[in-house]
Amino acid sequence: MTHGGLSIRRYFASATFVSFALALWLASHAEAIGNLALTFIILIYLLARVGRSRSGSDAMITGISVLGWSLSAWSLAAVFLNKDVVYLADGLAYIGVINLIRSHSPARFWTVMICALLLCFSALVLEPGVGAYLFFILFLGASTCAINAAHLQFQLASLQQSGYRLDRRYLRQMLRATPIGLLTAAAVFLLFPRINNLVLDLPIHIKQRFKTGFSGQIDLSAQGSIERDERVVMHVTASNSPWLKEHATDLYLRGQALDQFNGSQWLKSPSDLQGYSRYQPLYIHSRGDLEATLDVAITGNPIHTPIMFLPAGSFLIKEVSGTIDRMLIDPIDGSLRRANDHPVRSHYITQVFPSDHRPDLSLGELKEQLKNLPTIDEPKPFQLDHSHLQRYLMVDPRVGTADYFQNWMSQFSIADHESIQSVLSELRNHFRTNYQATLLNQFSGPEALESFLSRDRYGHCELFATASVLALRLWGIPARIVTGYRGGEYNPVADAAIVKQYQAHAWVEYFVADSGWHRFDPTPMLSPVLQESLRGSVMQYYHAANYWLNRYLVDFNLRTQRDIVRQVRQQLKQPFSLKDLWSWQPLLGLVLGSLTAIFGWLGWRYYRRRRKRPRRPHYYRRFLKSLQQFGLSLEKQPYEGWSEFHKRVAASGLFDNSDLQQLEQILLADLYSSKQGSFEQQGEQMVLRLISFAKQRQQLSRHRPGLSQ
Amino acid sequence: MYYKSVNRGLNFTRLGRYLIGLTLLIGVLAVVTGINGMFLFLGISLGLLAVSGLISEKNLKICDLQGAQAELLLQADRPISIPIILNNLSQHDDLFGIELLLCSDRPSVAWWRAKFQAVSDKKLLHLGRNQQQRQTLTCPGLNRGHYKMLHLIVQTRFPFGIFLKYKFVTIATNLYIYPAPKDALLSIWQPILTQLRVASAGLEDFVGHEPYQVGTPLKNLDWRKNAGRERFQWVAKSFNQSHPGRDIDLILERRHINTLSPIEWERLLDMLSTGIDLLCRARLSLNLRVDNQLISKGPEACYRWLASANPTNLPPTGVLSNNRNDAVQISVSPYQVRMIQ
Repeated sequence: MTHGGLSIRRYFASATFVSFALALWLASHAEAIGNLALTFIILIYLLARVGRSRSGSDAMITGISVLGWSLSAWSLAAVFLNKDVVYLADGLAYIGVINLIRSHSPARFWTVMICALLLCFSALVLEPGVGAYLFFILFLGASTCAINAAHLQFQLASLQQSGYRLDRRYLRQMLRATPIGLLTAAAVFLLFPRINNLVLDLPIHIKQRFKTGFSGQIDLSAQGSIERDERVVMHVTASNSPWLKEHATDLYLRGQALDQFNGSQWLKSPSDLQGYSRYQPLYIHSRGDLEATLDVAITGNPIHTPIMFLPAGSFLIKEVSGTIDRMLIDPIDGSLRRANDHPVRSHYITQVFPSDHRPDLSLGELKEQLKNLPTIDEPKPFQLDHSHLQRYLMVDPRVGTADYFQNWMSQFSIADHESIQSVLSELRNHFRTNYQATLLNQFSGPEALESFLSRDRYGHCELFATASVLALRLWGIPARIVTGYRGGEYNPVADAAIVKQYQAHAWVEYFVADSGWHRFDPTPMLSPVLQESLRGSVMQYYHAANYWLNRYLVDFNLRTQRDIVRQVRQQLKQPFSLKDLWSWQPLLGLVLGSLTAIFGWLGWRYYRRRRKRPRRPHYYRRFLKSLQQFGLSLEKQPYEGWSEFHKRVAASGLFDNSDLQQLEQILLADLYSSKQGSFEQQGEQMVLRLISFAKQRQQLSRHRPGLSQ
Repeated sequence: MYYKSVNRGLNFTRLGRYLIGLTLLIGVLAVVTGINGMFLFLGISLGLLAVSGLISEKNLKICDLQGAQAELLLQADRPISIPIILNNLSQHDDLFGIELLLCSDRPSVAWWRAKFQAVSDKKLLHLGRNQQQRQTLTCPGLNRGHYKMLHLIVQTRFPFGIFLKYKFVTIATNLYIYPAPKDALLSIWQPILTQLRVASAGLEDFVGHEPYQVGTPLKNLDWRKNAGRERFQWVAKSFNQSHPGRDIDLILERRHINTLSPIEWERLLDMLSTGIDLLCRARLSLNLRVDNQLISKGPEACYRWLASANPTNLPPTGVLSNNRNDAVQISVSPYQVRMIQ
């Protein structure tokens, strides 16, 4: 037995504590547990630790347990009072910590583990991000250690009483089997059939506990500052990778449009949402557009908005994930949203025509078209009804007649014969020349627009877009402001554009009668230095890992399984070429590297064992060889002991039984005894004796058959 | 589940059954909700089962057991110690939580479970790498019989307590367990002993003293020496062989044996055991006969016969007998004993 390692009691206590702490941290991170509850839990644990170190602490521990049970009962009541199931997590955490401080019985231990598991699941439901999943994997690893420790603690109590301490060899013994377990787990995870049709939305009500850079609203008078939020909101992939690579920074993901401005806030006209089914056209398109389409897949992390972001030029939705049970469309601004507003992960594929058609007609021609705009009973999202035209041409008099705005407008000289494109170009050039885009929002307030236009001359996208919409309306062009995300960072490792919170954006849409709504973004690009600094190679791999983990861990579903199968089939059908192999470079490198490392380690281990000690001593190998010489095809089986093997040898009748037993004693002493002795010499003598005896027996049996029997 | 070809069996413990249930439940929830965390749990849980099976298999593989027992003649329901030697064949790994159980009969195994009729207490052992340990398994008592071999169950729940994996090892023994003499039957034998002593009265020579035992005739007690002593301190006078030339033949009548029920058969054996014990203490030489056929000669042979006696394997009629006319013949039946000659 080994001394000087980790005691079983400490191993058990540490593993259980780490498992529960990981679950608690995970739940706390996902805000399944409130900060107050977390404080109480930590307090209960610390008090119990202090109480245990003092003599006569039973009353104190009992008091703490009563407090814990009371708090868990209160949490249960809070579920009904607040109608929020998340409070159940608080109760689970209290029950877990009460049992953790007294985990001296198997029942209490399993209560702790079940509570921890449920806490983890609640966290994964609330915020199923990559970080949460990685921590959950850590939790599962720690739980495995805890189960092993519990077995040692409770079922092998005699081992603990004997003072056995776990040394490095014990842990190595356990770790040696770990790759098999991990491979089994990975295989089950990857190959277990996903059935999308069965996926149900959880019947629980969860309050909003998420923050997002996108709110859908624009309030220029709001106090506060925009924080640069690096959280990933969406991953965008396209069937045409070069197109995505080229347009990643210029990728506009449209949310919803706002049409009424009251001087500081943009509001949305009320409208009746209608049901939307897949393959229903969203925008006007021509036959040529249809031929040049590409599929764009968008995977959204859970944010608390029902709005589905669509790439510019989307004209239909092809496929949606099970988390989006029903879709609704706003007939006025053409925005699409989910029927349920839970923060769930979502995935959808849209068909996009990438051509950017820009109408080239003069302001005068546009005004003529607008005068003859027909009245439509049920206008499509890409159409504009005559009755709704004024909504997009109206400018609030408080802004339109304000001196600062008049002064700003006086810098432009726009005539009716000028084309729309030249007007937009002039506006864009004006901003690029005289204004600067920044994410800092230090001038938020009621006079934000005035400050932006006349004094500071730098601001964020909402100010640029607001000023542009108002100017276009005054010049007679119907316009509205649109919120969404602009630009994604193309990640070549993941072959996807990654959209982050800070890329929330506002821009302008203007209407032309024969071709619908068109996009115009007046905001100058951010400083290229800032953009470049974010594209460090480390960040690239970090985001790629994030994307791959999202795709193959968090969002792994039937579609992903089918994609993998399809890709494998395609690869198998194609003739082998090194070029194709090169495209799989990262994965191939990983697999080959892992295999090389595993086989290298196994080989080194085998070599070291062989070198360290021969598996069987020389004299015994000689004895085994002699068996073959005497025509006995006997081999020691892995499942039998030495004595059983020798009994089989003795049954042949060729060797003397007592000599065999002596050889066995020498062999066992040589192999397993810690004593040093001349086993080699003794073994040689005994083997020679056995062989000579066997030879005599063989000769006798030739002359007198039946003697050896 | 037991696989005879590799001598391995597997049972789920209660914890294992709960874990399987939990895994199945979460598996169903994973399919219904589509939460990948649950699929992860499912995968890790099945991985845990695989690792558990692997480690316990390795533990059983490196655990070598050797045990043998010389011939022993013992009364039923008396504690027996069986020595065994446990070897850890591995040079790298320790053996944890090896449990040893002794079975008198070959355990009945089916593919779904195994039934062990253990006759010894469970022994939990831990053994370091490359170590050998001598252990003794104690049986509280075995039933009457001749045990040519005992079956040792080597099982382990290590490392997670989910599986109970086991293998069988056979230990060569030669145990004769005969029925223990019954105090209740002494009163039936006492008159026979008295008759034998009366017949041999005056023929003995005093040779010394011996401790008093139940069944010692009262007339042999040395009252002068026993005065003022407790009963267990009494001594009796010892005499030389009363009938050096005459044997005692205990005779079983075949026609009666064939009509006995199993309970009556066992009572007959108890009666014989009690008689042999009593007569041996009186230093009489014994033979056992069925009708006039000699079955066994001497007390040890009689006890061996009692250990494995079965009404269906009596010697066939017509076997030559070396019957002596001068032997005292006592007929033994389940409820009475009578002297014939």
